Amino acid sequence: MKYLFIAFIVLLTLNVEMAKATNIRGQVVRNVNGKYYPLANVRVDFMLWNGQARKWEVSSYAITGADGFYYFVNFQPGMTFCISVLGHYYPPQPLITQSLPSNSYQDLPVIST
Amino acid sequence: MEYDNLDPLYKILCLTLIFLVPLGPAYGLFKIAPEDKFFANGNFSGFKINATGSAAIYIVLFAAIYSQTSVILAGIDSSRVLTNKITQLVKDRPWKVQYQLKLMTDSTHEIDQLQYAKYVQLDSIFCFPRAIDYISNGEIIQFYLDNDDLTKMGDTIKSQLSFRNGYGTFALPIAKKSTNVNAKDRTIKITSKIYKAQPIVSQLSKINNHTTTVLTRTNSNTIPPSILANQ
Repeated sequence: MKYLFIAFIVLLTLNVEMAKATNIRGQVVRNVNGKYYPLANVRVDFMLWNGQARKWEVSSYAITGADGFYYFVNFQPGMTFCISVLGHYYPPQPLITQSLPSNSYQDLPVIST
Repeated sequence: MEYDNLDPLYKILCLTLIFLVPLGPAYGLFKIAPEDKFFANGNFSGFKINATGSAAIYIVLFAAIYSQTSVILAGIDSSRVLTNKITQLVKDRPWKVQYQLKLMTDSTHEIDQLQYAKYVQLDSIFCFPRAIDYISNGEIIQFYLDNDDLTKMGDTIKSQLSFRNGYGTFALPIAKKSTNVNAKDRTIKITSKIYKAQPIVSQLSKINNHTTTVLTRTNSNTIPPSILANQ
């Protein structure tokens, strides 16, 4: 019974830990004659709001793949963020990183440059 | 019990030995040839010396060694300077950060060992503000982090890995006060499973069928968005 209780606590702790990571993904596309195509090899900056310093900081960056997707994985939930692509900041209003189970993604709106 | 500086003790020991060492040969020579007459006279350290027998032997040997005393004591001082420099270098030596990673295709399957080189490439590893001397050996990625940079990072070491072909960009922050950080050996070991990032299926067709919102440049800011005072 004691070991069962310990195992339960361990599993509970692991579940809490798993829910602490936020994965973010999105896609960058370009509009050609009204049709959208993936935009590959574009740098996407992930910017976090530093509440103490009261400024935006580039936390990390990713390069879009052949399908135009970029991924940011293992971020702390509850952080205010936006992304920067080719000198523009998206979305107009900053977002908050969500608390998600592992292997789940917080999807950002598609960006057309 | 541990003492930081035993130099004064070493110096006293050296001076004691300088006094004691000539006793042996002096005694030996006197025993071997007691009938021979030994004389020593002259000036030594401002004193006029006039000795005979074993005392003369001792004084001659002592004077010979004593002339080297300053060299021996200076040697102790210079070795201390060198020891201090080495201690300082060891104290400030770079930290070794080692990631032991498993790249997974799904929740149970790891990629083939030969495929690691395809995904893990040295130009994909970022550590803020900078890292030195990357070594990559398949599953193990290792680099050195300057001690000064680590000190500036506060409680969390920021690092990031980027993998090509669908594994994405991983933020791998390391808490300085975790069991992964070995302050004695100055090593940081991180073990993690990394899952292949999955794109949204048929995203482009949804966009082109106008079922998904697309942000264009008109929906963007040319400067970072403003934040309310309480955020």
